[in-house]
Amino acid sequence: MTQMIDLRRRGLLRGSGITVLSASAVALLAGCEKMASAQGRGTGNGSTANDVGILNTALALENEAISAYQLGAQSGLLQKPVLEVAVLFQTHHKEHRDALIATIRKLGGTPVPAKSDAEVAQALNAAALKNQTDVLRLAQRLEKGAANAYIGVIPSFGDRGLAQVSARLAADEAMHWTVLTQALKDPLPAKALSFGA
Amino acid sequence: MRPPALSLKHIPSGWNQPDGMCPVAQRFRRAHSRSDGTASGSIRSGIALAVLALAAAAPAAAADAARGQELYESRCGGCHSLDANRVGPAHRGVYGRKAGTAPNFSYSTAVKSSTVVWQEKTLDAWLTNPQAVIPGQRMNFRVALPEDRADIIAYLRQQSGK
Repeated sequence: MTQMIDLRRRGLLRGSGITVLSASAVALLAGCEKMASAQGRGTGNGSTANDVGILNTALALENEAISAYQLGAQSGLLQKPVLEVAVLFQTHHKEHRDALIATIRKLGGTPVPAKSDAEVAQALNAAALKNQTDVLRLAQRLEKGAANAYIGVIPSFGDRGLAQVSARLAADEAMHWTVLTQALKDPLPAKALSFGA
Repeated sequence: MRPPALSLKHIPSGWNQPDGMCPVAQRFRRAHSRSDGTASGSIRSGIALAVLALAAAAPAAAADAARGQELYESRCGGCHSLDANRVGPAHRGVYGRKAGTAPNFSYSTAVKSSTVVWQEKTLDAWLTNPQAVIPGQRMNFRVALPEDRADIIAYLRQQSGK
């Protein structure tokens, strides 16, 4: 059954001109197709436009994360196995990006362009990174901020399916934060509900 | 450390015990007690209202800029920095600034054309629900708790030199 649903979704995506989407991107879009279809029939409203705005802000955040991991990977400061983990996390962010772009387009919006790595490097003060710990700290800070950002926009979504997508993205970022926290040998949160607070 | 907010649970359950009760209160209690010695509903309601009135009249706990910094870094830091435009605009100097005027940031049309000036009340409303303050904005991030908003605003105000 699951396979049938996946195949149908893949066919739908191909039909709309979206050719290369990872399995996780396809899964992320699950549940958004009904809304996208309604929008295509001209039944969209202000809340759909607002949802597109939120998704575009999320896309900007994902683009920044991709650049940040790129800067870290190219810095020569990361050793194995940390480097492999950083590249894996960058892959996750690329999948988030692809899914967000696909969803924005299906809702009739225009995805925001990514800033250059050089612009991101300046904004994040990458020149100050001197060792692996510095890179991990930056990544840890960005991942926590991203998780909290995804949690903080959940009440603003007009569509509950997209709110759920936001929660799933937050879960990925929280997972990244946890791994980075362990790599830095930082203590785990003593209390529950440490995200979104 | 912020003191806990007052609520009805802060009315002691043994409030009607004579021990430690002032004479005026004891007379008041005798006049309004039921035959079984329990307080009448009107008295309990009256005390509850009095406590709530006191809570409302008491000055709000001072906002904590140090806690606001922690909240800012963990909640807002995904998109914002004090001195760099990122997903959102740079925040140093935001307090007292007109919306949509951080140098070199590409704002939405809605924010750019807004007349909002960022102060205590406007920032509180913005962090509560940005879309209600400037429809068409792109932030949409909400901070649910009033004390968290107050502390973040205190930090932004401090960093704006206001």
